[in-house]
Amino acid sequence: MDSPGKNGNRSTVKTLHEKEALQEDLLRIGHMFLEHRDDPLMRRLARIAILSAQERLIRG
Amino acid sequence: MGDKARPDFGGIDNFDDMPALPNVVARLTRLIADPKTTASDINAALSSDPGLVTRILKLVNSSYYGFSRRITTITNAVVILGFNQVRNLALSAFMFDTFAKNKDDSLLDVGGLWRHSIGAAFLAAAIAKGTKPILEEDAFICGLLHDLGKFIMAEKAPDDAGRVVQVVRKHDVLFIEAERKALGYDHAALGAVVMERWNLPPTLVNVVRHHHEPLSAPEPARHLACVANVADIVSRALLMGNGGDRKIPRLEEQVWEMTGLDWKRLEAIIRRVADEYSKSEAFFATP
Repeated sequence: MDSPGKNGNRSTVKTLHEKEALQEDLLRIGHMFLEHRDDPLMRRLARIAILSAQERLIRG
Repeated sequence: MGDKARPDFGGIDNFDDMPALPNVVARLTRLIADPKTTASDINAALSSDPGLVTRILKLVNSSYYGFSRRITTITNAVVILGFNQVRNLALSAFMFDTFAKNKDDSLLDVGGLWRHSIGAAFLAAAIAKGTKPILEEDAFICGLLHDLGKFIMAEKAPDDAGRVVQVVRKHDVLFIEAERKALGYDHAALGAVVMERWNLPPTLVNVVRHHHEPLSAPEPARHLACVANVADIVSRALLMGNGGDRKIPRLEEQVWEMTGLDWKRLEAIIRRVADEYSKSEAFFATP
């Protein structure tokens, strides 16, 4: 989805696109860390990975 | 380890046609190890490679450094960047040109592998800087080269790489697990042998050889091997490129402790590296 919506608000469309990318990143992170879910060090690292993915969305 | 004692590397039976480390990189490595080296010695070494000089000037004038005044001479660039960064840039440029540029037809996602390697290099350097600063530059090289064996396999033994990719996809395992299952050798050992042939220091060779089992690295490589291991894992966690599989190796507590890191410091490092990583296109976009 790379064209403006009905109201021509391109930034809203871009945000949606970025949100989809974030969702994809979070799925990848979830898949990677699933088998380590009982490991405290890996849980901590997973939390950092999720925060970092969210920060990427904010930075754009 | 000489060639006679070398383990079997499947589809790679001839190491004589491996890409050679460019003279300028080998020369810079020797010069940097010599405490008597001056900036003019470095300039003289660089002058044999005009393409690299252009690249260094491009980098030093990029947004990555953000200088307000344009740097036009290589002498000034060397002074600003420092000897080690110049050598690291030369090595990175060689790695990119040889293994990652225009390799879209490879079975491995070499573009993703390149981004993973760059991410690991930045992370390893930043971890070392925050814990054992004297190792910062060596850590960058170890991060950059830790998956050299995967690049070599993609280039020189594409059938082996294809078998590994099949096992990775079918069983959803780590690349190294698939290598050991499908080939009986792995990229860590392969990369180390090529680094030996490039006459890189034995400590760096041992770091790459043991980056998946860093506690088994012989001294003095163990600390740096732990740094490379953590950098590899964190680079995957941050989705920097693609290590060749969809998995992440487990971070061992003893390895984590040996790096001297704590979580607060790691979070600060990640923020800084994420910024460096996003600007790093300037390193490699064009020759």
